Amino acid sequence: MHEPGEMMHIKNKANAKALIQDGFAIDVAGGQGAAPDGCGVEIRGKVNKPPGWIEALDIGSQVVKDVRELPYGVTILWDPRYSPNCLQLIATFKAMRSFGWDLAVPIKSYAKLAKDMGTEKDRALTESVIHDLRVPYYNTHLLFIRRNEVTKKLVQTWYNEMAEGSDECLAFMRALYKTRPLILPLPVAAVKKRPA
Amino acid sequence: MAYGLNAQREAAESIKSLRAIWRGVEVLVIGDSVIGASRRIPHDDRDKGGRDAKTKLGVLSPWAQTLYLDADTRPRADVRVGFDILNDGWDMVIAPSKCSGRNWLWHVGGPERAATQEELGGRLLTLGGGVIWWDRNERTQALWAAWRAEWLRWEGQDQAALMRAYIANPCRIWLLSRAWNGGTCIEHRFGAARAKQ
Repeated sequence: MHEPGEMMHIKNKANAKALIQDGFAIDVAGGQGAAPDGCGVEIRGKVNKPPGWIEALDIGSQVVKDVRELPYGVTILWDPRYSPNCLQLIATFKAMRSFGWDLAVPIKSYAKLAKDMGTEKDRALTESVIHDLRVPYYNTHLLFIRRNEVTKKLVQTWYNEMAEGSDECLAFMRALYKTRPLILPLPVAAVKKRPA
Repeated sequence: MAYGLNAQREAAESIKSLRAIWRGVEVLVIGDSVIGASRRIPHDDRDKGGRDAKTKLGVLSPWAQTLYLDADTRPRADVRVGFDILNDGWDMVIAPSKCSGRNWLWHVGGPERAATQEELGGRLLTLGGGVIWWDRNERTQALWAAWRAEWLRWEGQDQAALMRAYIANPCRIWLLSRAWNGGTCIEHRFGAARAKQ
């Protein structure tokens, strides 16, 4: 059973064509030109070669050296242990391309909240910044970041907050709150952990 | 927003819940008279659900910062936290809607739902329009104007219209959890204010 927008790699070309012809699937390669100008992927982790969706979208990619670098006009900061949802990807590209969002990030969970994350000390620190921990936190395994002064400050602040040993997601919440970018929150379904 | 007896009763209970937490708060009701309200703006009931008036809130609200609550809500936690967040420079404080995933905009008419998906290019995040804090500024004014214009296209439910409007009008949106719209912080008795058919 696959969710709408889930990416599949089908080795047999005839089977893939049949699925597309029957309307059960779309070819991600049809999304060429969908990405905003100057868009590229920064990969946070090891991959043998860029996955098919990056090739199909015809966008650049490189392995992250420093999270504070935003090498592309719109950088997709991506952890290869997670798969972006194809339909969400295309909708996010459209919103980023057409409007002035600084940042787009999926929510991690609708049920598990910031109050359920990190250590007591980390939560107290976060609450002192964001006022209330009964908030969804973001899935930092897939971020769409437009390079500008606000987002440069965001990633620098995030880096500083993480350097103190904080949970990555709570550190991101504090950095986000302090820098106030125009953030487009994405649904949980925008990204899914790949099976081990 | 209160039109009809059910909505008047629900709004009165909502105000009572709110005042139990925040005693001196000023409450404005649009539509019919409601017990406990400090002010009222009479407004013609063009839409059964009060959405004609609701989508004009960007203009109708007299305050620089406002919390909008549907009549059938019951605040149980201190809602002043939303204003703290606005005062820190965020434009809007709101919670994701439960109408997501397989239930994405299930309550919206088919043609409007299909058009929303087509125009946005996919099923992006739905926000719950029944509980909203906002700061009046040029970004939120543009969003309210767009919400109004989008709602007028079908004059049905308002959630898909809000979605099309917010995607096209970037604001600094701080998300709260669903506990703040239909949960432990703000209970939401969805549909209780509706007039009986």
